[in-house]
Amino acid sequence: MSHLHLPDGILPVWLVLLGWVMALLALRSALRGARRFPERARLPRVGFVAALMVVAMSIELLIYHLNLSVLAGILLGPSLGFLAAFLVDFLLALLGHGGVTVIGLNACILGTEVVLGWMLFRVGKRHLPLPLAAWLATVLPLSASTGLMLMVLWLSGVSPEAFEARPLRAVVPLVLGLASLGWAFEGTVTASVVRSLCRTAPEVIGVSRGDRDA
Amino acid sequence: MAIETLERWARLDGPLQRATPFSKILGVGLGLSSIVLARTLFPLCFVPLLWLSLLAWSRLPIARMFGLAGYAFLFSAVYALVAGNFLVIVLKATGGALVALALLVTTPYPRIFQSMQPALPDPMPDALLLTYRSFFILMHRWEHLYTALRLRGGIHPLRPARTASNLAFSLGKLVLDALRRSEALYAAMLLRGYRGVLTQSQLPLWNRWSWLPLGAGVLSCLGLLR
Repeated sequence: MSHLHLPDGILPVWLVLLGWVMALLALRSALRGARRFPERARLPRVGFVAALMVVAMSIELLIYHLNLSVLAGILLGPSLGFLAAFLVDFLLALLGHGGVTVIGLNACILGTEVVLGWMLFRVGKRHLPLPLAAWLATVLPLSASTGLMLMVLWLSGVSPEAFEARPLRAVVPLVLGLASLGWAFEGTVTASVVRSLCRTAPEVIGVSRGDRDA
Repeated sequence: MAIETLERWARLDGPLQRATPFSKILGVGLGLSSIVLARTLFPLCFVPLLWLSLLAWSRLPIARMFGLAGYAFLFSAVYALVAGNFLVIVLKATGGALVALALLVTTPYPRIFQSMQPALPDPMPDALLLTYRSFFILMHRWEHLYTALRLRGGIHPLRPARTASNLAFSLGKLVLDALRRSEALYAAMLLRGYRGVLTQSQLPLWNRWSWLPLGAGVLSCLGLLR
């Protein structure tokens, strides 16, 4: 699950502020993009998709929580998808799942998955079967966002040598291994949902019925 | 921790519950700032104790407050293992969580969203409210789906591939349900006169209990001077 579970008061102030600045700039851009869509596509759907992401986070596979961020990007597009990601992080912070001050950084990380996933799916569906495109569009952004989280830790002053201490040297590969299983599982879930939607409501994922039947 | 429990605590008749959401947001903001900026042990001990005493005065179970802050303690301890400076990091995280609880367990969430309306851009407060409402609807639906899956033997620890496949199928059903409900909700909102903004009444900024969280916030900042 690509969410910094860090409480308030831990990360350097400059890093927290940078996260907020980036998140608010991205949010401003997303809101401008969202105004191009008709009212119908906006609040109720964004609310339900954001709520879906929060519900999915309660589903655990060993240490991995689903988050359906890429599916949110596929269903809502990049602008509304980023808005949903911001709402999710805001709500999670209010529920005590991570600090209030790290909402900005978390929104940037989760938003990256949403936007990257949308982009990869949009390109992939033209060249690959839809489920495979959805699977790749999920796994790649999730691994990228894990890299982003590690970069945040590094920027906060945690040196790479610290991970070479004995207990962590054994734990870190195990965690990354389990996380990659989780990415594959989430990719499978997203691919399965995309396949279902392709049969029942293809316009929701940006596939015309003519393309589906071809 | 069930959200229903938090909502129940928020409706108790305690001094913090009576204070306006706006004053609590300000006070907790000052308290969190003092925790973030603290460099010595005194404010890291004084500030959480101050806010804990307010929580106790507001008829909240203190042991449960520590339980809620346990999440922050756990993740800060993991971070402190690699970052060093274990005591300061853990005290900051746990103290920050206890301060934040003064807002989160004494104020119904829709009131928090409503109070943030002037500070958040246009659709955000409405979107937060709709997300919060939708969460309960979908969580309820998911619990039914999961129970049905378990009763029919669809979840088995020794058959992970089958379990994953069944979970994926159930999630697919939930996604379709969510999309259908969002369309139905939008139709209902239109019928009730929705024109792009959910009408919300103005909450008062201050009342005679506002001094409590604001005073605690100011004292928290003064604790930095020690």
